[in-house]
Amino acid sequence: MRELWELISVFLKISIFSFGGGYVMIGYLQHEFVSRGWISANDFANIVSISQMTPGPIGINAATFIGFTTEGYIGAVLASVAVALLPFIMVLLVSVFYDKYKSNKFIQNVLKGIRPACVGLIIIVGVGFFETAAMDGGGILDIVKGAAFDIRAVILFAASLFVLLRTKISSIWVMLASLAIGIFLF
Amino acid sequence: MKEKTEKNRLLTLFLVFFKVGLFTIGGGLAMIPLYRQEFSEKRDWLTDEEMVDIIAMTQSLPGVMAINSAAFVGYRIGKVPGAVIAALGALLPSVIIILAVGIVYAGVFQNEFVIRAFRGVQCALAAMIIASGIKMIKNTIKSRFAAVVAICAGIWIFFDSTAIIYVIIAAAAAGAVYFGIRKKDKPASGSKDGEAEP
Repeated sequence: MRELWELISVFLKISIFSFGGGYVMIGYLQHEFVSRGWISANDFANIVSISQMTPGPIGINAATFIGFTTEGYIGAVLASVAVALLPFIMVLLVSVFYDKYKSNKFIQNVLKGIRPACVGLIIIVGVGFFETAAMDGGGILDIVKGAAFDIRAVILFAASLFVLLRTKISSIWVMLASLAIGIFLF
Repeated sequence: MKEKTEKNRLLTLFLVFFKVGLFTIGGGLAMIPLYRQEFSEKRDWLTDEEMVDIIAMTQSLPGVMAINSAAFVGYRIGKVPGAVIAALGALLPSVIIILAVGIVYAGVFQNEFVIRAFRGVQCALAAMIIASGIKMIKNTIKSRFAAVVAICAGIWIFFDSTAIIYVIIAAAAAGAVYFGIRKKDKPASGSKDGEAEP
């Protein structure tokens, strides 16, 4: 029972700081569950990959999946409700006072600080997954010190990045292609 | 009779947002055309201005966009019951699909092929998240201030992954202080105006 409440409180807490969409939320989840040793880095990367490839918002999918992995069916349902609850209440409050909210200078200023920070956060969250995929969780800075990395993973990563930035091919196809390539490559 | 149309509205809300939850892959602004089609073209429920409000509001609050926009649209159309029903509609597909996937996950991941396949997907996942960050730069980093905040946030979180909440709070404070002070100092913003820089 205590674990269940702990799980719910983590999702409630991160939900109110999840500005800037699903990937920032993934960053929080990574810290909360991987750093604490509740889920291995490899399992976490797989959970996020599946959450990305299945229908539904990645934040909700990942919450449901993590809830299920840690506390079963009840954990899945409660985690997905918990991650949605406080932002939902905030939207209702804002809806009531929408005109005042929209013209509030202080809120606008705060958001001008948060938005660029989210860009930095998201890129580093991606770097974390690169470390899981290519370096078995080692830090990229250790490459300078001669840490081992998997050159096949680096090439697949670089190719995916190139396709995503330079072509209009959608990310779901890039992921499905990598899924197939992975079987032969690794 | 009135009660019946009310029930129909709530049912429609539920179904439309169930669809939103089901077809959001990766999430975000991809939902806007669907909202326009369902709420302003098929039904006269939202104006174009309200559509813009959905984007502005959901991007300025924390949380998942599909749920937040469900709450916003649901409230406009059916007050609190409307908001609850719309949000449940958006939530339900995820819960059903992920539970189904989660049940097979443990068994499937003993399989050697699946493990290899997912090593491939992890590479693409890292690329995809970094690519989405890079694509955000164009629309978000339009001033020296924004660039400094983004770089500081990135460096901070790189060296201390436990600090995400503090990074967000610090960035919020930086925005409040920087733009708060600048308003008072320079009422007529000139070429040094951070936001106006190319």
